[in-house]
Amino acid sequence: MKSMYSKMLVFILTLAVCVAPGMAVTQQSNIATVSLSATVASSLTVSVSVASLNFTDNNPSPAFNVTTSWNLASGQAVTLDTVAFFNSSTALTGTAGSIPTSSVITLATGGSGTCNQNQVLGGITFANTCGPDVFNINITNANLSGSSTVPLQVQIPTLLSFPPGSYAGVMNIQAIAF
Amino acid sequence: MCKILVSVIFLLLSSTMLSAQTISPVVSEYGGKKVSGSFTVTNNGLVPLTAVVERPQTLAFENGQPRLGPLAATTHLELGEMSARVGAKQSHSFSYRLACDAQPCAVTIYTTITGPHAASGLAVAIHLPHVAYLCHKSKGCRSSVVNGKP
Repeated sequence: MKSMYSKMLVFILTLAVCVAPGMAVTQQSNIATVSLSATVASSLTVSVSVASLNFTDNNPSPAFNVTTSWNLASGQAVTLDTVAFFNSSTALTGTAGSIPTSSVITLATGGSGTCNQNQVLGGITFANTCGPDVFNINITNANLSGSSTVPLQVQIPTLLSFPPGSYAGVMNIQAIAF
Repeated sequence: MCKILVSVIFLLLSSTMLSAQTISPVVSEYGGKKVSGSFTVTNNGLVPLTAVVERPQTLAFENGQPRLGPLAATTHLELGEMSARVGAKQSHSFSYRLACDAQPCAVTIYTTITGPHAASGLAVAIHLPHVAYLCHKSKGCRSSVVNGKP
């Protein structure tokens, strides 16, 4: 009889151990949500690896890099160009005179040319531009973002034929997105 | 000694590089009669730069080809400021208000960013564009301007 009680006790205890966890109720809170939103604006970056160029002879300047980086939205532009140009037909001025854009050339992998050209980009004429485009690309959905680095050199082949003196000017690097 | 060397290298680098300059957004499409907008110029370099807003131009398209010209009398653009000093690794926002008597219309605003003045030789200036399109509805506004549809 005692043995039977023991067996029943063991059975009840076993039942309690096995069933109790299943009966436990896990309490969970509601699922709170936090809405996230972000806006990335289109951007265009141009960098030039020099701030100024000095010329003391007729040789080309050391090569410097012009990097164009873009991150555009679809349908916002179809072409992207980067050009080098001067504001007028005078490239550098000094106390002894001036150096015209026709005496300044740029040397790039895409070609070289004087800086007195009228370049037509997307139907718009840009005066006093240097040689061919520094960079150009047709924008499609496949290249909405990207970056390109072009090495460039500037030369004033007849520099030493100008009157002695100090000359200064500004060369412009412009990005154009249409 | 090492700190001095690093400082000298930093000064040499910062004085010879114009670094990367960014404009954002490149294109904005607006809907409405009179809108407020802005664009941001970021100086990614370590030297303060001067950003000067150039005279805004009207952008029109003929047979899909862009045409830039003087700001049309029917386009009214008020710029909050025309220039700013942008510190190293800092940005500056230029705000504007745009209205057009005849929609759709578009304006191109170039910003010229220059570094230290060069006493001799050639200094380099970077020009970056911001184009604002204004239509009755912002969605597809650029296409409306390109196609000449209101």
